[in-house]
Amino acid sequence: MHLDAWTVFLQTVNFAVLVWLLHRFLYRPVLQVIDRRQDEVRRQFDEAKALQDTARAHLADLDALRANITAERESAIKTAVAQTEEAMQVRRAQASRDAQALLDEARKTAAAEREALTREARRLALDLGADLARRLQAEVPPTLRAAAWLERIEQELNRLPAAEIASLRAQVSGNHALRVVTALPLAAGEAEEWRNRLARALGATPGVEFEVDPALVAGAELHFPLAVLSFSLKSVLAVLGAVSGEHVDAG
Amino acid sequence: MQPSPLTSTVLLRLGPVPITQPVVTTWAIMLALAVASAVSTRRLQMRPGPTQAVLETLIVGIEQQIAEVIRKDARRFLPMLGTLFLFIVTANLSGLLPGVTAPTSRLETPVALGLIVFFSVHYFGIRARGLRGYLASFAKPKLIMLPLNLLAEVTRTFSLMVRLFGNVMSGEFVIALVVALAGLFVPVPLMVLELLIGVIQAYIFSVLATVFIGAAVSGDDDTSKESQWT
Repeated sequence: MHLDAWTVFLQTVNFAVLVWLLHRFLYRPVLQVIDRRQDEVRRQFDEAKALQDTARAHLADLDALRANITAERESAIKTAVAQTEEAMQVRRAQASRDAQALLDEARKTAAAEREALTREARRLALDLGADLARRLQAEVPPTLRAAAWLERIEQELNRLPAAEIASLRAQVSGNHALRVVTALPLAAGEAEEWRNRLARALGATPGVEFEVDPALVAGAELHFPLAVLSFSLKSVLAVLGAVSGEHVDAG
Repeated sequence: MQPSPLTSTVLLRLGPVPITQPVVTTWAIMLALAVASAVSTRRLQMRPGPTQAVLETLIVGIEQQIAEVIRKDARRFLPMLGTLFLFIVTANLSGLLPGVTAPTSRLETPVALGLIVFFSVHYFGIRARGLRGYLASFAKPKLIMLPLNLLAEVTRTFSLMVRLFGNVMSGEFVIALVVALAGLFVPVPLMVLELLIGVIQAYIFSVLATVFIGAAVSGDDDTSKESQWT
């Protein structure tokens, strides 16, 4: 067996050259691309980790926000309930006040209507009274109609204080006549009797003028220059009407 | 006189330097590997295609194999050990081509590879542990072991060389004999077997070289690791 030293040497050199060639054209490029890929994977992993951390942070924020929303919702519900309760109380109070006002108004209206009805009834009653008095007056004989009223006038004059009688007497002294207004015309004799008895009651003999006013219904009125003495149903009804606040239609 | 079939045929001479057939074949293998590497790594992408994926798998596989044995930075040893594996595989399988004799079937190439491994072991050992520390490792565990350790350094490299040479050369002889005796297609199964043996021998040679270098770098006793490959 022969061993060629040159071949051994050349093969050694060849192998060394081959190591350099493969290192230059094979190992280094492949390892570089593997390293770049690993760096890229590591970078993407880091980015993914960062994104994951960011997402977790956002998730935590969302959880906190959701918790805040829940708390705010509960608070809003409580506030709304309180406001509703308060509004209901206000409305209830307002409704109570409105109801009370309506009730008062209704009561006032009812009282006014009742008052109006009362006045109307009173007026009707007075009218009825006046009508009855007028009918009764018509049933009384004409000679008695004035006599009764003359009797009453005389009594009233006699009950007046002397000073007032004197004042009345002074008013009809001289040219001033006493005007006697009756509801029905007086016969001549009745007029004379009225003149005499009035003179006796007054203590003087004034001039007397007679007038007729059917509105008096019954009775008479003594018209002095400065005073009027009324002794008629009209005046009575007027007094009643004044008491009840109603105008009495004496006619 | 018939020349020995184990003798390398001199194809030409450059002055006193004979250029033998294994050398020329090795140049062809070098050219093929270099061109193939340059072409395949010309457009490497971040998203690898099929060719790039195979290439990366091969490189990463060799690197991981080295890392599993040496347990240190494997990238530092990748050019030498990876080239050792790729060259031996290519050289072994080149013998299957018609008219081509595998460089590893001639003694000079395994000797050259053995010498490279021998000196690489010492280079990496001294570089990792220092000259004194590395030399001191030959006297362990006892000083009396020094001659045996020194002898083992030579014999294991010798066995490495002879194993590769013997397997490849014998395979080629067997195939040549079967072709001569039986015909053209009869040795095909043997060629398939030779293909398998060529890859296995390249793997064994590379792994043993890695174990030797790893032991020299770390100072471990490599006897147990070596024994499972021998």
